[in-house]
Amino acid sequence: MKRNRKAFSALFLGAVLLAGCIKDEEPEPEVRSGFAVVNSFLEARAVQHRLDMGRGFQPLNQGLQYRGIDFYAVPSCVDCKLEIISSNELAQLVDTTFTLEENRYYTSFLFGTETAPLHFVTEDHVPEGTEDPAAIAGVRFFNLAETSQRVTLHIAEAEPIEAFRNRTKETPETGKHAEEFIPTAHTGTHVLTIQDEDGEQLARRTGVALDPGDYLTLFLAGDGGESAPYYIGIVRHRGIN
Amino acid sequence: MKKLSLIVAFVASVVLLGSCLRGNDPEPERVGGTTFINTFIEADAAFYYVGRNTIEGLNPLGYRTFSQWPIYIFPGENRRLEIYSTYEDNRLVDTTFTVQDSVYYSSIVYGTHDDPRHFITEDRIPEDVDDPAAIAAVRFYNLANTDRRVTLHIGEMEPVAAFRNRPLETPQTGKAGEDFIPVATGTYIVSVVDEDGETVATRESRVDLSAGSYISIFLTGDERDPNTFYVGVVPQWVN
Repeated sequence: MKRNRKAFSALFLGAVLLAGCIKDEEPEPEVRSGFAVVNSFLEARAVQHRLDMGRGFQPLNQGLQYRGIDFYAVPSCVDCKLEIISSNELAQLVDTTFTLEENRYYTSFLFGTETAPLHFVTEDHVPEGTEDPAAIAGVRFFNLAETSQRVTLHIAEAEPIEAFRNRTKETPETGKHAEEFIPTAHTGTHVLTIQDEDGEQLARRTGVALDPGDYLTLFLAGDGGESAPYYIGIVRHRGIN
Repeated sequence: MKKLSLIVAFVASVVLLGSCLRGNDPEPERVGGTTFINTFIEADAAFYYVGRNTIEGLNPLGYRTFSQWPIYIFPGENRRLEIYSTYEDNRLVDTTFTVQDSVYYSSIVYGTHDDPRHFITEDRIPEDVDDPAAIAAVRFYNLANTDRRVTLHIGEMEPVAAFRNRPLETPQTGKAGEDFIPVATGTYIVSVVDEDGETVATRESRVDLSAGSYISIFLTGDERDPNTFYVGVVPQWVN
């Protein structure tokens, strides 16, 4: 009897202690990619992004407005299908496929006009050869405006970065080609200006914070008209790798 | 034998539980803090970050308002203060400052997006004051976007020299004008007058300068719309 009880209590104690080691169903690691969307398409009030025939990114009644920027984590996929639909009679602006790798960050840029909508997706990498991504800042620049002019981005008074000079309106190819962030040690709070080839100022933006660890996409939007003046948009990337 | 084990158990429990006893823990003294004053007219409000952390109540802080209680910032050097405008996240201020224990500070932001300005004052009782609760003291800033030089009139009092013909403050003049200047106690109509004698703005209610009041008075507004001129009054904590 006594031995029995001892054995029983030892068993019980063991069960209690080991119970903590039992694992339920392990949560599957999430298979996601970072996907930011930028709307520089000025001919519609808003657009709706749909990825892989899934639910739209934005609620149906309030798409992503012109100049809008949004960040999503989406299931990674091969040959993901992205549709972008305009609020103008739900016209389809973009219908494309691309691959979203796990734990990678991407950004989709929409611009152009209803007759010729343009779109590209960038892979958002840390600049090559960077030892500590948090110690430097990175910038890239796209001309997404409806303009035939060549434009140059000036960051404060500094000499413009070579890749930011005399950029014509992007095509999907030139945009994709300029996807690399250019590292800069020129951190601080800056005034940005964009000038055309005659040195005339098209747009200006004050108080732009650029701290170590910030990766920004700067883009020119608009057509210079009254309803869509030239505008410097800033994507403050939540993650790149 | 049994007794011995009892004694051992007793000693052991005294030793073990002894660590739970607390002596007189030193109470940290939470005196001091920073009053944040937003007079930046070009945005509805501003976001404040200290050491990249948001501050409750200043998230955002509206134009022409100030934090109702001084906000305690842990003392130390190189405390980073950032202020962002609600308009397109313009960073207006990115500065570091030294926070000393038991000192009251004020952070004042003003100017324009093109030329944002900011300074931090130390809010002290004027020197050689025997009883700080028996006097009233004032300081005056011109924080309005105007080229006019302005003078503060407190009731019928002869304007204090430091409150006369003040141009728009720079961070340096603001800091230099941080001292409170004792004035006669009372309740006054307060107005700001430009160099031509034209009244720029009058405080709509009388300002109570009873004994023990330490008050910052400032002009805010913008010349582009004279209706925006406004006399701000901020009661301050001092020590």
